[in-house]
Amino acid sequence: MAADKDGFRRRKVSKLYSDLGGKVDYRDGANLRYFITERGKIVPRRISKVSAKDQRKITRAVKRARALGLLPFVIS
Amino acid sequence: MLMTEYETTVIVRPDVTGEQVESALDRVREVIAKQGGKLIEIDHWGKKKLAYPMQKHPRGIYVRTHYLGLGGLVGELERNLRLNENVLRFLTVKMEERVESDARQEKEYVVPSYDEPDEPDEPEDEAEFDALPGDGEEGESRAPRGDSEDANETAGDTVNDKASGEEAATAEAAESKE
Repeated sequence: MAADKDGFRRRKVSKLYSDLGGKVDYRDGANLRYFITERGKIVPRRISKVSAKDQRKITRAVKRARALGLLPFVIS
Repeated sequence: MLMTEYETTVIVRPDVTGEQVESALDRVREVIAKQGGKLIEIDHWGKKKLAYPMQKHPRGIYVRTHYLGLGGLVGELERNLRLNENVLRFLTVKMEERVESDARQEKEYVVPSYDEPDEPDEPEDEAEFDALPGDGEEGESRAPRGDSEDANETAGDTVNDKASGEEAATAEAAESKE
């Protein structure tokens, strides 16, 4: 999170992402819903600004949750 | 003795009886015992609505088992689950490696009342699917335990994880989240 004085380079991570990012759990379908779009895709880091490390955890958790039927593969 | 900590979540067909679930779990206990593992917990989530149908079933009975084991245990357990046609799907996650077997205490098994009414379906309103949510929390949050499993993953009917894990957060640390 480099908050530069000019404000241009500030990376703003949504509070929820940063709160949850460190401890996402594939069992917790309700909270994982925050990391997928309305189509069911995993929200890209480009949009959510989560760290690469957290994004990997999120991706892993979402994919596991999908396999267990806790999250949909697609929402049509 | 150093063992590996695993968690296998099983989805059982929704139309089976409580006894059938119990007999499947007895099989799990048997396999774990035979392979020198240590069962820590069997956790019933109850009958839940699936995000998509599995073999035409809109719901499934979720049971999570948490155990320590050695090499062949996971394979043998999964082979047994695969043979049971009441099991729709299962997923094994490696939670932590090199755990001292005495470091995990066995939790008491609570037999669920199988005839309890089904858990209400998770709401399906579109509001839950916010791509970029605000700070508002909605929905209950279950406290995740041991959340830092680190493994590759293949989706499918026989999902199994076999990669190295990083150190798992302790249950207490994760529970403080709530």
